[in-house]
Amino acid sequence: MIRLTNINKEYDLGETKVSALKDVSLEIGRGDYAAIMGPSGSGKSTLMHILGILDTISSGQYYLEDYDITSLPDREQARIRNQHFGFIFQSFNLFPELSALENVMLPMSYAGVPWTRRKDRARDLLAEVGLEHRMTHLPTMMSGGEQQRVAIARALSNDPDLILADEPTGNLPSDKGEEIMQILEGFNRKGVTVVMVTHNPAQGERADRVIRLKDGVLLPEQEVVRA
Amino acid sequence: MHSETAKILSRRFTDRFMESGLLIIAVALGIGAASSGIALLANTISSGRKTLESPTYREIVVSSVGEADDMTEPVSLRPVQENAVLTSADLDAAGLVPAVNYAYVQNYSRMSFINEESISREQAMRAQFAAQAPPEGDFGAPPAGDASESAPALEASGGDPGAAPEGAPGGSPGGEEPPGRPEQYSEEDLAAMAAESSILISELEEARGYKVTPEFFSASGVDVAAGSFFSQQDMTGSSSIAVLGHELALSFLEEGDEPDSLIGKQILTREGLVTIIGVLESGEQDEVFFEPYRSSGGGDFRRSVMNTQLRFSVSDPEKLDETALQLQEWFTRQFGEQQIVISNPRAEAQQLISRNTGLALLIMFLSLSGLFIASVNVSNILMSRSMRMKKHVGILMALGASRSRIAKLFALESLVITMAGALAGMIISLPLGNYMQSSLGIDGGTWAFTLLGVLLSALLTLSFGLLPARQFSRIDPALAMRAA
Repeated sequence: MIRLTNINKEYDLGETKVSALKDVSLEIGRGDYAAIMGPSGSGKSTLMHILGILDTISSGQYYLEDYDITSLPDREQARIRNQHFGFIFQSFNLFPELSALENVMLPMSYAGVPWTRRKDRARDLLAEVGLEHRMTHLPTMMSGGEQQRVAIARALSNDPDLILADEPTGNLPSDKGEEIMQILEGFNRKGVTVVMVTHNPAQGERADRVIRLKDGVLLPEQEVVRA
Repeated sequence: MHSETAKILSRRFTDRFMESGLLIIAVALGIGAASSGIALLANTISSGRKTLESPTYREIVVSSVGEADDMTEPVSLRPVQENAVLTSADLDAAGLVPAVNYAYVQNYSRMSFINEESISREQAMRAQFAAQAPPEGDFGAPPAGDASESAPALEASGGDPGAAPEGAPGGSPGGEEPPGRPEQYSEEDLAAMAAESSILISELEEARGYKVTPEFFSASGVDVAAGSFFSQQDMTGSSSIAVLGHELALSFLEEGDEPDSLIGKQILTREGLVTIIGVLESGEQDEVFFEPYRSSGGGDFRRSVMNTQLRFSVSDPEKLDETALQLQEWFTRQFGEQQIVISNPRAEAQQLISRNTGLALLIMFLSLSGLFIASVNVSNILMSRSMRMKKHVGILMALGASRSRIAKLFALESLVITMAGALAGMIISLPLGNYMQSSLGIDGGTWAFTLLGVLLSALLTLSFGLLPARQFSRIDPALAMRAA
């Protein structure tokens, strides 16, 4: 589904340049469940942002379904992010001005889904993550685990091909983190591709693939062998 | 704008109600002051141009006495002794100055009407006078001036009804006396006259007007709605005739009557019966009357009234200065130095307009400076608000918002603040602009300039308010998401 070839990412810091990713080539297949791991500063978040077309690349090619989308105009990139990708963040990043329902409806509004349809879809998704009783609540009135479940429902609202999760359990206690992992894995079993950045080796081992980075370089991938 | 995004904007706006309110007030004050300044300058220039288009400002005024109050235009006059006596022959000076196309006399006059009220007042005064008078035999004549001012009819001589007493304000020059008038009018006389369909009794106490020579009408560009102007032949007769301004004529008409019906009718005045020969079209001279300025037998205007003004109308305003010099030369030769005042109302008006324009320009500059400072501050606050939202902008972009959509979001916020400020600014601007205009003595200002001022000021404020939108139209989503 996604193919990155010889991706380099450099940050220009005035007189010096910092290389965040070095000659990274990677393929993500449809239905994959992959974990990106590595120490701090290894380029995990940069790779995540490049996969989500949130950041530009210095050189290399990005193919989505064999289409080169390396240098698409902003409007087209926004459309791909909206309709093909779903994002989940460590700190949830819900809009405090909107209710749980409205937060889930938001990405659908950019896709032009009519109000009643997006409302129905948001209700279904919130019910699916177990929040049918919290739909009208503002994020500030919800626990961290509930907020992350709203974020998952929001990420799924446009029925994406790929969910990019950046340390989705990083701000949660372990029991709530486990709930989130189970929800993500449940959607993966239904066919949604999941790529997750994590520091947690146990969570990494639950993925089908572990993509390791060190100093911006992709290490040889190891197949996870399940017992 | 998609509804969830609009909700984010509106809820952020109301959550920071105090900050949003202060922003709107700052914009309102800036726009209010600046639009008033712009409107003031525009109205000053427009009013000045309109003023100078008037035929009055294409004239040179030659005056025999220096009373500024006697002038109809803002002219600077030096006080002079009235040694010179202007004569009708002096109008012939026009023939020596090629640029002059009309020459005429225009002097103030007044018409006092006789009606029930004036008769009652007069009777009361007579009764009071009789009560205070010494016994018969000791009765001394009252001072002439007092008597003529307080009760002109008391001094009347002659016995024919329908003529004016001598010495009344605006009385016939040269002492020519229209035939026939009673010593005084009684209520019975009045009733008898009112019964005659050709005599009009005014409900007014008096009317202002001018004694003019025929070329006045050509020079001022007025036209008659009914009847005619007086002619050169009328200048030598003794009949009392008048041309009425439109509004004054309407005061004699019954509802539905046309001005034509007034022609040939006579108005009862203290000076006798005055025959209406014309009614002017509606215009600048609506509430006044015009009567012929008649010289005494010799053709001079000697002592008929205290001030005589000769007016020389010039077709090309560029030639006014040159004309004034030529007339000055002629009148100095005739009367000597310092005897005649020659003034150029256009030059005086231009000086006044120039002073007012300068003041208005200064006020506009200061108010625009205020608006500029307010706009910079508003822009800074909006930028600060949007920077606080930077991370959320990154999230919106991750969820599928394009840069242009984000820019529109911030532009909408600026637009709402600017529009609310502009509306409040307009409410400030209208009375403020009117007050500033009236303090500079500018008439005829239009709201259109205030609206134009509000629009221009709002555009300036909006251009500053759009800076955050402009900045976010180039933002990198990954960079925005890293914001704290």
